[in-house]
Parts: sequence; C-alpha cells; structure tokens
Amino acid sequence: MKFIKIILVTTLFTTAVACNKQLDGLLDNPNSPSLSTADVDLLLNTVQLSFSYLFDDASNTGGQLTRQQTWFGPTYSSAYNPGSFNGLWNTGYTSILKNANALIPLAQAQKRYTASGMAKFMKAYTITLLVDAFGDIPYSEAVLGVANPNPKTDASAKIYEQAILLYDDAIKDFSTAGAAPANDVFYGGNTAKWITASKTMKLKLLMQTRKVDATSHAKIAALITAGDLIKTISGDLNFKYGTNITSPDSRHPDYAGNYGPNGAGEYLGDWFMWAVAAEKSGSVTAVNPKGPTVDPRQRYYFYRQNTNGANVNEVTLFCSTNLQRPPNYTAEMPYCYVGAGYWGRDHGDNGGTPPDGQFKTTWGVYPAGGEVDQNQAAGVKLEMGGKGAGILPIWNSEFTYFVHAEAAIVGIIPGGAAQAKTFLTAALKASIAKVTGFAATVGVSVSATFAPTTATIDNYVSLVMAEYDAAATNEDKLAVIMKEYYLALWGNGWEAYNNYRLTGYPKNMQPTVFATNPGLFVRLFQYPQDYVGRNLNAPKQRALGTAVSKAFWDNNPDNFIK
Amino acid sequence: MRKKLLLSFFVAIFSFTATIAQNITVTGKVTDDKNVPIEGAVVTEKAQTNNRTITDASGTYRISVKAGSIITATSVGFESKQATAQSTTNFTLKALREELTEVVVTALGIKKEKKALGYAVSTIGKKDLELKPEIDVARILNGKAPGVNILNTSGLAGSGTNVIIRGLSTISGNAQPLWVLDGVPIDGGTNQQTSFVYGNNAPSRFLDLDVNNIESIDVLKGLSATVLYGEGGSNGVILVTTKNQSSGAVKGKSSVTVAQTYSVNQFANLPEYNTSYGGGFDLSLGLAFYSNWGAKFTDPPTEVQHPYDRAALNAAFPEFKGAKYPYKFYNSVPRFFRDGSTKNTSVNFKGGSKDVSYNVNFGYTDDQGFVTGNGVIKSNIGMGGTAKLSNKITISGSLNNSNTNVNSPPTSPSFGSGSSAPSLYGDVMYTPTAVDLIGLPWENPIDRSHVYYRANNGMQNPTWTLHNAFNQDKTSRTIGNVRAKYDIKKDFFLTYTYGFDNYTNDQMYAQNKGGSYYPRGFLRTSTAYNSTLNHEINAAYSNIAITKDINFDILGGVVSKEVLFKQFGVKSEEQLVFGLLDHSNFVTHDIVNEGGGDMDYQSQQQTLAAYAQGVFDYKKYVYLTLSGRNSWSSTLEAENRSILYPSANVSFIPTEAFTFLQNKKNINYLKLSGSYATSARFPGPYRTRAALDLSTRRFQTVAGTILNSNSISNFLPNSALKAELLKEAEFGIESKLFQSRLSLDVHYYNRTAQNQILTSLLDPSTGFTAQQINAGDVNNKGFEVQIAYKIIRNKDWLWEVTANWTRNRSMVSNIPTELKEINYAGYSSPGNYAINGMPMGVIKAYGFKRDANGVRIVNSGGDYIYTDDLVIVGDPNANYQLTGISSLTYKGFSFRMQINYTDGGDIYSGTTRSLLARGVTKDTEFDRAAPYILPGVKEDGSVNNQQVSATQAYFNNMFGPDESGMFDATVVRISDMSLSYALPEKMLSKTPFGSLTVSANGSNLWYYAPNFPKYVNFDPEVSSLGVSSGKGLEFINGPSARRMGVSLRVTF
Repeated sequence: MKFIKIILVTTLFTTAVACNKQLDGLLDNPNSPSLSTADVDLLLNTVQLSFSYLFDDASNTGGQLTRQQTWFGPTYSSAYNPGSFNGLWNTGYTSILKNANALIPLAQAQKRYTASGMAKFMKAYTITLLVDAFGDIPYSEAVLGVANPNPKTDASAKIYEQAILLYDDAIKDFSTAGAAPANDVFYGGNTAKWITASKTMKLKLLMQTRKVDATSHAKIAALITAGDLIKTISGDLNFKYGTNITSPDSRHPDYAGNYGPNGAGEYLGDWFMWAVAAEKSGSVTAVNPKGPTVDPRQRYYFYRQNTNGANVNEVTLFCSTNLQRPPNYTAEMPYCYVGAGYWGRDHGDNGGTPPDGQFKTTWGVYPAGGEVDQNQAAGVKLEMGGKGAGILPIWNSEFTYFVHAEAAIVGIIPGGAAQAKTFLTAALKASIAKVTGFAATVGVSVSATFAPTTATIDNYVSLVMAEYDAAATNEDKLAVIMKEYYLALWGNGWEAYNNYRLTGYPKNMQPTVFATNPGLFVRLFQYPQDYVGRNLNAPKQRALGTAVSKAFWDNNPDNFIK
Repeated sequence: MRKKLLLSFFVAIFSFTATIAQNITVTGKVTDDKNVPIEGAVVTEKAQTNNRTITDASGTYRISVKAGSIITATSVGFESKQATAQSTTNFTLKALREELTEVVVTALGIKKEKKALGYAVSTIGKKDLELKPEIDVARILNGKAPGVNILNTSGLAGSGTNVIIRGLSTISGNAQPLWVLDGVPIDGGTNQQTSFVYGNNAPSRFLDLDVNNIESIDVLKGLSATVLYGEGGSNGVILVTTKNQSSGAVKGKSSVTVAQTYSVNQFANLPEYNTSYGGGFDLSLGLAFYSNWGAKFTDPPTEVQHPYDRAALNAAFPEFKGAKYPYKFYNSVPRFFRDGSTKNTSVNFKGGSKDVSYNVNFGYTDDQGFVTGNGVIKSNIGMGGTAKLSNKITISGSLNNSNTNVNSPPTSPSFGSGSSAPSLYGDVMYTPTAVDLIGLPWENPIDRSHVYYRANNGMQNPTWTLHNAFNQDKTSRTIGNVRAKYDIKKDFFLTYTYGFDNYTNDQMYAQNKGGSYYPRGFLRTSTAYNSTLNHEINAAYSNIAITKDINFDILGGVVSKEVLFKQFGVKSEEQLVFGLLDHSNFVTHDIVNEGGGDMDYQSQQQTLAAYAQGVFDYKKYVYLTLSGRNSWSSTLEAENRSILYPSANVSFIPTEAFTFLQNKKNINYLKLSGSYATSARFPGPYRTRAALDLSTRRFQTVAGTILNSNSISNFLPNSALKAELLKEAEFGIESKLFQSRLSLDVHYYNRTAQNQILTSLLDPSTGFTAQQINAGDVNNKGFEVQIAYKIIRNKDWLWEVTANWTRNRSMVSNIPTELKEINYAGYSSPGNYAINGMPMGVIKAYGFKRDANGVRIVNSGGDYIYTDDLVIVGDPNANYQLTGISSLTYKGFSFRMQINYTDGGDIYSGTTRSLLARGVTKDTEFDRAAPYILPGVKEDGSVNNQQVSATQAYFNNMFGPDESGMFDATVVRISDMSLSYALPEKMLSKTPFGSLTVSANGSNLWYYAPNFPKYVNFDPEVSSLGVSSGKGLEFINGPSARRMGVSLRVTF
C-alpha cells in the first residue's frame, strides 16, 4: 500500500515540474512582432498620421472659439469639460512623442536623417502646440514609461526653448545626406523644403513670444532677413488627404463628416461667413459672383446647399421666426441667418439640432476638398467636388507674409506701415492664389462665371488696402492685417486662436447669443481628464469662464477678448 | 373509452358500498419517540386511502375502518408506521433525520453529506429549473440562491447575463464565475468582438446549455468551497449536473420523458406617453424635431406638411407630394414591438441494466424575442452513461452537443440623440408622439434605403434597422468527458478524467446600404475557435480509521487545463447589391474591427496544478477539512508563476454532539461552520512582454499609396506581474427548528482580494495609457440568510415560504496614490470607478455644480452649471436583496411564486434622462406655457430668479451634466409564478404514462421602481455594458422581457 502511495506522489510531482517548463513557450504574444522589428518608415508613418490628428483636433477647437466653426457654448464655463481634451493629450504624448522618440535613435543609427529630422520637427511642433493649448505641461519627465508614472510639468517658456533647439537639430539632420523616407506626406522627402519649414516654424514661435521676450525681436529680424522661409505654394506645410472612403477612410475629416447621405453634420460659424461674404460690402455679396466687393475665396471656402432663404423656417432654423435678436448684438452684427443661403450658427447657440443637414452651408473645396459653390443649390452627397482630398493648411506662404506684415507694423523689422502694406498685399495675393488654385489640384473645375479674374482679385486687394490706408494708427493697421490673416486662416483654427489671444484681433467678433454674460474667454484649455485624473503631480484643474489662465506669451489683460 | 369510464365508475360505487358494510372505530395517539404528541399526523386505512383522519393537538385521532385492515400513520419529518387496526392503536413515530443524510455535490463533483461542509452551498433542483419559459439557465437562478446576483444585459432573446457571486472582488479582472458541466470546466464567457459602444453584445456561452436537461445546479460561493477548482473558482463555481451525467444512479426501469413548453415573450412595460404635445421646441410645432416640446394637439388635428413631402423623396413617394399629415398623438411606440414566442421540446431517454446505465437527451428551443429579427434557435443532443466493466473499473462519460443561433438587431448605447452605431432602441423610446413610427413607410421603394421623418433623413428609421441591421452569433459546441475509475480496494480509488469543451463561434454584424449609419453598407464576420482541455488524475482514500472515533479521508490530484482561442475575421464596407451579405458583394475589406482591434487573433494559456484535501471527522459530528492547491500559470514569467493557496474549514453539529440537544421537539438540527480559505487569480495572457503594434492600410494618399505603420504599444508590459491572492473567512449556522418546520441558515463571509492584478490607467504623458500591476484591495463582506418555514404541512397540503436575504458591502483600499482612482467600466462620465475608501463601482460623472450648502448653481443663461471635475454621483450597489418564495402544494397541484426586492443602489438611466429631456412621457405633460425657474442660486449667491421656458428647463438640464440621469434603483418584482398539476399515478396506471405534469408559468410579470419618474416605467435591473464588471449604467437599453406560458411533461 505504502508503495502505491509513494509512486503516486512521485508521479504527481514529476508531472508538475516537467509541465512547468513548457509554460515558458506561451509567454510571447503570437499576434504582434517583437520590439526589435520596429521599422523607421513604419514608425514615421505613425508619427505623420498622428500629427495630422493632433493638428486637426487643435484646429477645430481653435476654430470654434474664434467663430470660424460652431461653438455650442452657451457659456465659456460650460462649453468644454476636461474629457474633451483627452484626445489632444493622448495623440500628442502616446502617438507622436513616444514613437518619435523611438524612431530618432533608430533612424540615426541607420543614417536615415530625413526621417529623424521629420520626427524632431513634428515633436517640436507638438510640444509647442500643447503648451499653447494647456500652458505648463510635462516634457523633460514625460514619455519615460514606468520610470516616471507621474511626470511633473516644465515651464512653458523652457519648452519653447527646447522646441527651437529641436528645430535646429532637425535642420542639422535635414542637412545631412541620407536615404529618403518611404513616405513623406508633406514634402516627398525634399530636405530643402523641410529646412525652410523648420526655419518658418521658428519664426512662428518667436513671433508668438514677441510680447514677453524682447530677445526674440532680433532673431525674428534675422530669420526674415535670411529669407529662407515658406514663401511659395510649393513650400506650404500641408497635410494632404486622399479620397478613399473606407478601409482606410483617408478623406479630410471636415469632408467626411459633411459630404454624406445624411447631409452636412457640422455648422459653420455665422460670423465667419458674414465676415467673408458680407462685412466688406455691408450686405451678402453672393448674388453677383464678380461684384467689386466680393472676396474671391468665398465660393471656395463655403458650399451652399441653398442659394436663398427658401428653406429657412421655424423648423429648420428656429431663431429665424421665434427668437428676438439678443440685446448685446448691434444692428450690424449677423444674427441667426447670414442671408443668400449662407446658413450656420451663432456663437454659443446650444439649441437642439433641427433637420437642416440638407440646407445649411458646409465646407467648400478649400481646404476640405469639397465642392466649389457655383450656385448649384444641390444637397451634399458622397464623392462630391474634390472627394475629400483636402489639406490641413498647417502653414502656408501667405501666413509667412502676414507674419512679415505684423513684424513690420509692430516695428520688429524696419519699414513701418509702408513695408507692412507691401507684405499685406503679398499675403492677400498668396492666399487668394492658394485658395482659388486649390480647386484644380483636386480636380474641381470652376466655370468662368465664378472663377475670379485678375480684376476681381485686384478689386478685393484694393478694398483691403483702402481700409488699411484709412486706419489711423499702426495699431489700427495691425487690426486690418490680423483681420485679413484671420480670414485667410480658414481650416487653420489653431493659428486663428493663437493670433486672437496674442493680438486681440479681429475685434468685432460675434458675442455669445444666449448668455449675456458668458464668462471669461477660454485663453487656455482645461487640463485633460486623463492627465489630472491619473497624474499625482498634475496641477490643480483650472475652471473655465470664472478665472483666466493664459499662455506664457499672453500678457494681455484678463478681459482682453471675448 | 366511454365504456371503460362507466365500468370504473361502477367499480368505485360498489367498492364504496362494500366498505361501509363492516366498520370498526379505532382511536389512538400518535407520538414521537420521546412521547411528544404529534399534531397533524395523518392516519389512513391502507386499503382505502381516501379514508383518513388527522391527529389533534394532543396527538389523538379517531377513524372508522374495516375490521382487521391495516392503518398507517404518517407525518412530515417522521418515518411512517403501520399497524393492524385495533380499537386502540397507538403509534410512535421515529423522527426522520433528513438533515443528517442530505447529500450535496461539492468540488470535483464529490458528493458529501451537507453536515460535513464548513461552508455554504446552494442547490437548485430540477423542480426549479424545468418547464420554465426562460431559456438562459443563469436567469432562472435569479433570487434562488442567496449571495448570487444575476443581472440581465437586455430584454432581447439571447442577450448576455451577468452573474456575480458574493460581490465584485476584482477591479480589472473577469468577475464571472466558473461553469463546470458534469465535472469539467467549460467556457461561460462571451466572445465580445468589440466594445459595447458598437452595439454587438454577445450572448453568454452558458446559453448553450439546455435547461430541461439539467438535473441540478449547485452554487459554490466561498473560496473554501472552490479551492480545489483553483483560480478559476475564485469568483464562485456553478456546478451543472446534466441528466446525462446523473444517469449513473438510474438502474433498471427504462423511461422516456417528453417535455414541451410554449410561452409568449413580450416587453414587460413601456413608458406612458404624453398625449397633449407633439414634436417641436418651445411650443412651436416642429414635426421633424427629435424633441417633443412642440405645439399642443388640437381637435381636429392641425394638418402639416407630410414628412415625406420633400424633394428628395418626391420620386420615391409621389403619393406624399403635397400631402398633409395630421399632427396628433399616434401612440406608435408600443406597436413597434411584437409578441414573441418560446417553444421548447425536450425528450429524454434513460434506462439501463445491472452494470450499465444510459441517458440520451434531445432538446430544441425556438425563442423569438419581442422585436422583429431577434430570436434564438438552439438544439441540443446529449448522451451519457456509466458501465461497470469489472469489479474494479468503472467507465463513465457524457457528451453534449449544442447548436445555438442568436439573432438580434444591434443595440449600441444611445444618449438621447442618436447612438454611437446602429441601434435598435437608439431612437425608438423617445419617438415624438406625433410621429407615426409604424404608419410611415420605412423603406425607399426605389433603392431600399431608409426613410424617416427627419427632413435630412438623418435619423435611421428604427423599423428599417430591424429589417436591415444584423447581429448574429452562431455556435456549434461539444462538451464532453470520459472518466475512468479504478477501485484499488474498498474506499480507495484512482480516477482519470479527460474533459473538453470545443466550440466554433461565428459572428456576423452587418447593415445593408442605405442607412444613416454605414450608408454604403457594412459587414463584419468572424469565426472563433475555442478549446478547453482538461486532464485530471486524482486518488481518494476514505474511511481511514485513525482511532475508534476519528476517521480520515484523503484526496489528491494533478490537473492540467489548456485554453486555446483562435479567431479570424473580416470587415467589409461599400455594399454593391443591396441585401446580399457576402464579403464578395463589398468593395473594401479589412481585418480590423470598428474599434480598430485586430480580428486575426490567437491566444493560448495553460495552467497546471496539484491539490490535496484531507477530511478528519470525529464521531461524525466534528469535521475538519484541510485543502491546498498549488498552481502554475503560463501567463506569468517563470519566477512569479507558482502560487500555493491553502484552506481549512470546520463543521460542528451540536445536535449530534450533545445529548441534551438531542431529541428536542423544537431544535432538530444545528450546525456551526467556519472556514478560512485562499485563492488566486492569474492575469490574461501576454501582459508581461513588450510587443510592437502593427497596423496596415492606415491611410491612402491621393495618389493611392498605402501607409502602414508600426507603433510602440500604449499598453506597458510588466514582467514583474504576479498572481493575485484572495482570502476569505466564512462562518455559518444552519438549523432546523420546530419539528423541522423552520429552517434558518445564516452565512457570513469576509473576502479580500489583495494586490489585485489591476489595469492601471496611466497619464498619457508617460507615453503609455495602461499597465497591469499588482495593487489595490477589494473587500467584500456580507450575509446570506435563508429562512424557510412550512406554514402548512399535512397529507394534502404543503405551504412553504422561503426568504433569501443577501447583503454585501464592498470597500476598495490600497490603490496606490499615484493611480488616484480606476475607471474600470463605462465611459469616464458616467463610469464605474474603484476609489480608496469607497464601495466598488461608484459612479462618477460630471455633476451639477453646487454652492457650499449643496444648492445647485445656475448660470446667466438660467441653466445649471457643470462641475469642473468628475464627481461621485452614485453607488450602484444595492443595500440588500430580498427574495420571497411561496410554494404551495395540494395533492398534485403546486403553486409557486417568487418576489424579488432590491433595496437601493443607483443607476444612470439614459432612457429616463432622454425621455424627460425630450418631453415625451406623461411626466412632462404639464402646462408648458408657464415660465420656469430652476431651483438654485446664481453665481453671485443670490436665489435664482431667471425665468426659462419649460423646454429649456428640461432639454438643457436633463441633457445637462450626466448627474441628471442618476436615479435610485430600488425595485420590487414578481420574478416568477407557476402553477402546475401532476396527475395522480392512480389515474395514469391504465395509461402508458408514468407521470404527467402540466403547468403554467410566468416570469418578470410585474415590477415597480418607486424612485423613477412615474410614467417612464423603467426597469432598473439592466446593464448596457454587456457581460462585464460594470453596473448601474444604462444607455437606452430597451424594455425588459416578460414571459408567460404553459408546459407539459409526460413520462412513458
């Protein structure tokens, strides 16, 4: 009997031990490759695509706050919650910074300098965007994984300095010979263009800090003097979307969300459409496509599904019959409906969404890759216009000229108002050329009735110049420059938001429609929920609307902008 | 036939007249063995069973019987006795000690005397399982076992079911119990393909079981009970014994049992809609609105432009061009539903000879839900048997095959204005009252796309969804086991068991083109193969006499469990020809699902374990059990792989031990038990080593270049991950009192899961978003009480009332401060959180901002302000749950009713919130012209005096912060009721039937949730998160189901 027991126990024990060894083979995940197989080109694709998500996300929020896109409001305290900013934070850190950090040493080791330069460039852009959005953020302690689960913040200004260094580093990489990356969706591996873009981004950062850092002025002047900046369309820093609808949906998000069988999903800002289509002439100028006061970009920016007010009624546009013009809206201020089919939403309108998807105005060909408004008055549908092959205008040559004009009028570079005027003219012409020329690049033809001619373009430029000349002081002239800059920034709500916070222009923006006292304007986003909820060292959450938090470069008064 | 009846009638008459011929009167006393009179004992003339009487309080009786006949005395709880009738005939009945001989099934299918267990086991017999209208075995368990919490994910047929035993003790891990079928662990999980956000909640795999083939279910709740099952048993074990396995007990007579049930499956309740106002805003008529704040109805109704009188539809619907549409109350939502039906046929053959027994079972179930397109078709075949090959070897085995096909329109979460993906209920419940959901055509006759009342067709017609959106889950499954037992000598045997559970699961999720979601069509199919293999060798040696009074049983074994899961899937978009759901009819194909998850996936894990258990008993009234198990898991690195966990329990029966407690009239049985046990939990596979994420076809440039990508995973591996340890102490008292009329069982448990395997969410600025770590404790303690009282018991009547009371309190602690809190289910707002010092699963959401006095603050627009941060807005855990079961039998009739009451617990109800915000129910049928002032203070602290419209007050604020959706989920429910009648054997003796039972059954017949708005009629016992640890979150889930039916069972 004892014998059997001994055999039994021994068998059990040896079986258990033998099997234990075989368990090792089940530790590696058979579904994923190991880290050692990471590939520079494939990592770079992650970084580039994530970069487009980051910019698009930030641009939408910026566009909403600056009245380009719709903002539901109704007050600044209730408009956003910290969860709304998780996406920006996640994309910035986990998709861009982490993968860029993994890519850079790998690319350097393989002498793939263009790839490492691009990663540095996008890293620099990302951290400054996050600073502009959130203020102080983790940087030196960030993206260390388990080594630091609670990164502390770095001062915003220090991160800006780091970004400048990263751009310089990127320029060094771009200047070193190496194999081009397999996919460079911006410049197709052209390192000269990357160098120009890097210098232009440095200029942008320096301009942003011009009010708080006097040392920036000389650096700005030096960069402008050297002149290696984005000044031609071919040098524009644009993310270019495709036309594929599914697997993968590669269309411009503002196209994908609006050109479908359910009609347009998104509202455009009434005020922005008014500023483009009506402000200069005092009435909506869509009727005459070549009228003397028509903005040549108008029909490229916006696509009207209705060219008149036939479908404006209490169901589709409740305020058109039922609400009173708010007391804080002056007589000139657009309210509810712009006219001639230009149909969006007022700032801070949080009403329910009526069935207006087939009526409201949506994104045109520029920059979303939609349709050119040629009075078709047809509802949106799939595969219309440019089929979604839009762009993210992260930086265009006209922006460089506007920055030149701004630098000149505030005295950072010599030449004063006259020099600024020259730059402003160049900026306007570059903007109009970019926007009107864009249609052809995505296969949309514009009939002669609607295509602007040199004369109509000149008309518009002279209209602005007259305004510029009429402006009494340099500050007033700056207002004209910044307003035109703002109008040129369609599709780049991010710079519109940065400029608004820095300069306070445009001045006459539409007030909130429901709340007479909407609270203080959002000058910095709330910290994301994922950050304050998970990081022990996260700063105290800021309340929106009731107190002002500003970017480090924003030294303007608390009630500076609304 | 008629002749026979006539004949038997005469026979009865004559026999009756014959008996009254020669009677004597018998008197006597019936007492128990301590000479205590027995009241209510039945004395019967054996040859004439309808001649009987009952004893009075002093135990005496009087009966007139045929001289020289045999009379019997019986009483419940006593052995019956018989005697030849004399003028004085006394009976002394011996008490039956059923409580001492009651046998329960414990771990590994070992049958044990209940008195020897130091822990609680709940047994649910086939009486409670058979002939129910419900086809999901877990739902039948609801309320029947204290400590077991069942939560339905939906009222749809085939939807998943959450089973939580003794509270949720894991923050990130699987909380579902282990299912063991005929002694072999099976997969009771779900194969959820994507997040609940996409609306394809998969059924629970225990749906594959045929309820009518189940002999009994034993629920092992505590760790002490489950220690031999190892880490799989840490959430409790549900032991299912099928008739196939139990056939070993059947010897001799062969029989065939046929059971047929038919029931109607309906929605339990719907909101009561307001009949005065229709669609629109601020009293202005807007038929095309989502909201129901429009103009008042008039008589005759206002004629408005027909919703289909629009340019885009003029070609398709010329009849509506220029047509008018009466703006009135249509009450169309109830007509969206249908009466479903459930048919179940079950046939069982059993029989055997001296050394062989067998059982064969067929089952077929057709369960059609209360919406078109929802149903379950299930067929089961099972067989099992035992053969004694020689004196030493016994072979037994069982094989159960099932084919389960669940169809359902998808139900993705909705927040009151459309849903995240196609959803059956997304827009149904708040259909504006003037929209004729049923009367309006739902399909465009030209291209078969959906049409609905919104001018831009932006809301997918729910009826179109029913016909064109599909969620299908097909499973073909075989579960079996073979067991060879070798008797080495008397009381010493060796067993080898091989068990397997293999299934193939095909899932399809599709929508034809023409909807507002996936306008170009969508098809995702996946095929998963799951295999669970279990090898087990054990040896048991029992009745080893250590001394005269001490006996010892020992059991030991080794077990290997391998789980292999493999799946492949394809997602296609852009349908070519309408209606055909075949990948070749779609233009683009991809292998990632809607959530971006890779559908080509496999995982393999293996667990090895060795266990031993010894039981000492002292004079059969003190039992001490010591057990231990050591497990090794393939999911952890070698140095952390092994974990040993012991357990001990003791049981003591004072009524056996102390003579002064013996033979008492009112104390019949008393057992005290205590245990301390441990268990472990292992992580899922592949959490310890880094891997690279791979993504193909991420982007296609305008020139057609495809961009593929690599990225460093956001999931940070942790090579130091260890198993998690659970500890539990349990104490119990079981008793039978007052001549065994009253039984009272009380169990207390206190369980702590320490150093949990926690999915810690990281601040993305670390570069990662999640990692599994060992941290955080969850403590659950509670009482499980079962009181049963036999109010009436005599020959014909038995009325027993049972109350099950469960109270569980949980507490989270030791979550490292750097994690702050863990959002483990739902959204971040609203979602379930684990927070130190709080019960598990508290709900956090954006709340109403309040001043220092707790008064809500109103902004300058007249609406409430949101809090800046997420705040705790509720606790989904109930205070307690009480089930009352009344069971009444009279001769062959039995009537059973079960009432469940849940006290407290909070729920976020997306349905209630949306119905109020949209103004569709009678709750908002008040004077809407009056201005409203929201109670609260303004930002400057003064009392709010800003007037807003009724529309704004409700629309902006019920759709304000998520806190507006929080309600107390107290609910009382008649969970089931049944009346059945078994024909007396006498009546069947001349028929081929051995038994015949007919019954009428109903489940979820009525409920009332007092703390919800009156007319919403919301059923709070649901969860929109599918089978998960989430609780108290509902995102427009649709009504629950009510089933009523009849059934028949005959045995030949």
